[in-house]
Order: sequence, then structure tokens, then C-alpha cells
Amino acid sequence: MSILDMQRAFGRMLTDKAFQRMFLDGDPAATEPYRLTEAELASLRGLDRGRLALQAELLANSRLELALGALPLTSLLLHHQLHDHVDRFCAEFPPVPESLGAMIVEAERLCEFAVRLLREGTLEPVWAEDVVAYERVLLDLSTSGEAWAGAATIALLNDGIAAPSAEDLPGLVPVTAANTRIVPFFHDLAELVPRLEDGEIPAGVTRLERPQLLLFVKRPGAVFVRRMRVNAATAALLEASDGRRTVAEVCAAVAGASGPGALSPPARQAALDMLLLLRDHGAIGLRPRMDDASTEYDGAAASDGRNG
Amino acid sequence: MFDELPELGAGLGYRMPLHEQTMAAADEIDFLEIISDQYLYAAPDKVDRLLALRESFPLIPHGVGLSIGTDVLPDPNYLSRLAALVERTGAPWFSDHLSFTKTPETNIDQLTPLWFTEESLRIVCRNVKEVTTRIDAPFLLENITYYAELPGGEMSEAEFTTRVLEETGAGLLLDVNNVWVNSINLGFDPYEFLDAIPLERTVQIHIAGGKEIGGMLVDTHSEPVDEEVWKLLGHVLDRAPVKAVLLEWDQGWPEFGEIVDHVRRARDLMRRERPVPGGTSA
Repeated sequence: MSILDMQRAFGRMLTDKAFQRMFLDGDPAATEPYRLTEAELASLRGLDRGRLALQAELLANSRLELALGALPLTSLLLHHQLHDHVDRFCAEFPPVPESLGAMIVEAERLCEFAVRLLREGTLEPVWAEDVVAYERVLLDLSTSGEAWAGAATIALLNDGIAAPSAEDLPGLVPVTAANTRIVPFFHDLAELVPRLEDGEIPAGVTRLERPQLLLFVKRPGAVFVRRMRVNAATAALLEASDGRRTVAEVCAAVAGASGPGALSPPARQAALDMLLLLRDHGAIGLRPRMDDASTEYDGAAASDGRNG
Repeated sequence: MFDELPELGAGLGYRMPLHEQTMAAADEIDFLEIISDQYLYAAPDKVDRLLALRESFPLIPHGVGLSIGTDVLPDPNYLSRLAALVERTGAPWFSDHLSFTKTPETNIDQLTPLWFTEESLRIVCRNVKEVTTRIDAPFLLENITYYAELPGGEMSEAEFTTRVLEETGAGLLLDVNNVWVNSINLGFDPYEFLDAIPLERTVQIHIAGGKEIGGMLVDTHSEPVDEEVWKLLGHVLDRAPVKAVLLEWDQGWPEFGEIVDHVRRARDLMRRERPVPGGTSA
């Protein structure tokens, strides 16, 4: 175990500056947790301080750059400010091993760190919190296996029913999966994001009176996540598309949520059109109703429905 | 020793931001090296896009996460995923670094030097054996750049490297830029280092360019290849049956034409007529 303890201590010296100082200064609190031989201790204490500091600095900055590489808009807004806090980032988010790609792990950590600093007023502008949240959703949907599986499930369902007729549509069951997400934002990201993507940092961004809802959809095989602005009624349709209710029942549920009485014919038609549009975007799948409407949706059943 | 392996030529480290240019220059790039860690836990569609590259290039998985020097057996889950990636890419070999990058508590995520002792040697040999019993393709180990050297070792880096390769049967992925960078920062003759390691085990070579940071030459993979590194490459090619030379350029990308020029120059060097040891020129 001795060499492993030496590697543990060395690794921590490279990733924890406070520990590095304590260890090299001979603080027993830093050395006692490790079972080191005299030769190992002498070797670690014999490390060139300047070179060790450089290697640790390179490592800290590479962690930050790796994360920012996955968050280009966050980087545009906060890159230099975050570099001023790289030591705090390393202290508060030590590089604990995780079974995920390093870029994703570090980007997730940096998102959390940036939000923490924005909320305490250490970073600005405050509206960058929305940008961080926006890129975090993009990162998650574009890299996660769950989003990929969800996209594949929706595609499979929609391949099974090519073009639902107006007669069939009310009886079909709309399904959502982990490839779709609606997120509220408190600044006009629909307007801000294209400007940020062009490298512009807008000034005087104000908070919206009501949240703006953006729909994010991961489609099978696509590199980029599709994004679109939606209204509350569309969000309600998606929320009601729980894989149990039919389209007709979803419309009724949305009507019930918005007040007494059924949807007016134009409103009902608008809801049906929107569900078809969401299907075209890969946000929902449509499947035939199973015998027991209360049955939980499962992929095998969907597959059977397609083949039947 | 590695005679059966295919001669791949001159290649490029695959970087997604350069995908379009890389595909457009497929005729000039003989193979791609991929960072295996980026695909081991990736969603299936990302792996599908990677495998689509096989239609245009041979692929070589190159990792940073095996941590072959850590005094813990390699993670079986990591090895299973790596084995699957090597198989799916149809790679003639795969590689990682002669270093450690993690401990049970810390993912250092940076190539960290080993202490050059008999105990470290035993650990590396044990771990390499674990890898090679689980993955069929030949395994190469790469020499690293490092800035902080652990004092008090029992042998030199060259001796340590030699013994690892000879005792495990692994091939050498020789990064000549790393040799150059270390020779500047640590103060040794790079040619003496090269002559002290078993160059005949070299299957693949890495070239790259670094820059000075904080008074040290740093292996940033962001600059043109230094002329001294080209000379070292020629020196090795004159002495070793190298199958592949790869350019690493990870950031600070120039016009893609300059990258292609580097690949072309490496290929020209590989194909240059050179004397056959003990015989007439080829």
C-alpha cells in the first residue's frame, strides 16, 4: 500500500494547493494520513516547489478550459472572471473520479460553481445564470445515454405511424421521453443566444416579467439539440402527454386546466396541430392506445403496436 | 517483433472541431488517432459517428485514463469498455501512457510521472499484464512530459521504460516532442535518451509543438512542430521500424493547410530512402 499512498499524496499535491503547502512545509496533518516510508516522504518533500506549482497550475487551468470548451456561451461571458477563481473552483470541486467523460464531468462542476458565484454576486452579469442553465441543458441532452434512448424511442413510435389521419389522431396516445425538456428562463434567451453565438455581449439585459419557455429536443443521430420557444399552452400539452392519455384526453386535460368547459373547436384544432408539430420535431411520439389505458408505457408494447 | 502490424503512415489526432476539414483532407491523412476516454461512456450516437470515420480512416484508440502506474489493478469496467472500443474500431493496436492519472480518490487527469523504482516497475508490469490478457490487440505505452520529477528513484527513466517494455512485451509509442520538452526542462541529451531505450519496439511516434510558460517548455500541442523535434523524428525513423507517425494539435489551430503540411512532411520523412542496418539501401 505504500506506493499507492505516495501516489495519493502526490496526486493531492497536484490538485489541492493548500494541501501542497502543508505537505511541503512538513505539517503532520498533511503527512499522517499517508503510510509513507522515509524514502517516499523524502522524495515527495524533495519535489521542486516551483515545478510542482507550475504543474498544479497547468492542471487547474486545463480543468477550467476543458469545462469551458463544452460551454462556449458561458465562456464568452465568464471566461476571464472564472480564471480569477480557479483555485476556489479546484478547492470546492475536487476532481473526484466519476464514470463519465472528463469534459462532461468538469462542465457540470463548472456550471454549478458559476451559478454559485453569480448568485453571491462574485460574477456578473447576473443574467449569465440563464445562459449557464441553457448550456447545461444542451450538454446533458446532447451527451446523455438517457436522452439518446428517449430520442430512439420517440423515433421508433413515429416511424410506426407515418401520418396520423384526422380521424385517428384523437385516439392516439402522445408520449414524451428523456430527449425532451421544457425549461423556464428569466431573460429573453431566444433573442440573446443568437447574439452571443455571434460573439456579441449584449448590454442592458433586463429580467422578463414572465418566464420564457424554451423547448429542447434531442433527435436520434443529430449532433445538435433542437431548441424552440414555446408558450404555456404548448408546455401544458407536453406535460399532459404522459403516455397514458389519448390526444383527446390530453386536450380535455389542458382545457380543464385553463378553465371550465371544453376547448373551443378552433382551440382544439390548434392543440391538435401543435401535437403534430411536436411530433414532427421529435418531441413526442404517438402510439395506438393499448387495451388498458392505465398501463405504463413500455418500449416493447410500442414496438408491438408499430408492427401490428 | 511488431512486424505483422500494418504500416499506417502519417496521421492526425482526431479533434471534433476540425471534423469537416479532416474529412475534406482524407486523401492527405493516412489514419486518425482518437482519444478513447471520450467514447467509453458516450451516448451510442456519438460512438456511431466515430465508427463512421472508419469508412475513411483506420482508427487508433489512445487513452489517458488507464492509469497504468497506479498501485491498483485497472478498473474492470473501464477495461471492458476499452476492449469493446478497440474491437469496434478494428484498431491494429491501442495505447496509453507510462504514467499515472488517477488514484482511488482523485482523477488527476494529467499525465503524472512514476517514481522510477523496482516497486513501481512491478506494479506497471502487473497492470500491463492485466490489460493485455483482457484486450487482444497489441498495447503500446507512451513516454510522457513532466515538469516535477520525483527524486530518489532507483533507475533512470530510460532504464525504467526499457525494463517495462521488455518485461511486458508492450510496444513503444514514442513521443519525440515529449523527449525534447523533457530534455530542455530536465537538462539531458535527447539523443542519449533515445539511444538508451529499445527503439526497435517503437510502433508509433507522436509529434507536436509546445511553448514556454512560466520559464518551462510546456507540451501544449498548440504550436508548429519545432525543428529539433523533426530532427529527433528523423533520428528515430533511421533506427526503428516505425509503423505510424501522428501529429497532435489540440488547440490554437492554424489554417488547416498548415496541419496538412505537417502530416505530409512526416510522411515524406517516413518514406525517405534510408540505409538498412547491415545491408544495402532499401
